[in-house]
Amino acid sequence: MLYITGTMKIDAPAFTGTPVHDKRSRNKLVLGAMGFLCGILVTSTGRFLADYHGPWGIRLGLVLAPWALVGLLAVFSRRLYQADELEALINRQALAFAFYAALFGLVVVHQLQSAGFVAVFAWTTPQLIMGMVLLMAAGILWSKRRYI
Amino acid sequence: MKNRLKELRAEKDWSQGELAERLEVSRQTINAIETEKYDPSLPLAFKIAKLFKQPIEEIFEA
Repeated sequence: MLYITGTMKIDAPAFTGTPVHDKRSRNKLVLGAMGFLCGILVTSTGRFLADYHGPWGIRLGLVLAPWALVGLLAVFSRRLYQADELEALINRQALAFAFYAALFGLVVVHQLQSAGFVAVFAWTTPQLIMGMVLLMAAGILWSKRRYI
Repeated sequence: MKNRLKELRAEKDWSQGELAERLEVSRQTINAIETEKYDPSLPLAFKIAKLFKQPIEEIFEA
């Protein structure tokens, strides 16, 4: 296709529809939002179950139902979005970072507790989950700065 | 690893996004390769060579 502007003829760029990289970004956001909603659902169910004392079958069903949804999301997430090789590398490095930061962090906390600088406290499950999420996020940021 | 990706892309008048689309990777990956912060895997390097119809050693240099 040619556009005529005054006396100049300029080749128009071929229209390729929605670029895939835009679709990738959009799908990544959609997947993130769905993951976030699943997180809220799992957390809400947990809070509800803390005060619910119904039959064990219903309680077990309520525990497993959100995870069935998470499982479905995990299975179909590949159709929506698949990390490319650099993103996969960043995720692996973030996981390694999170693991070693947690390991060394816990050892340091234990030593400080043994030496009497820090009060002995029990880690609760929500604290550990939040710690893991924060460490993973920090790992992604730490790894990304090398490449992007 | 040095590479001529930016130069080859400029010859084709493609944006980083367009090249990313053709290679089925993210734009960030193309940017990281061009700025030599990231060395692509062998399959991706072959894909790049095939796309630009050049031998791999003409694009990447140790």
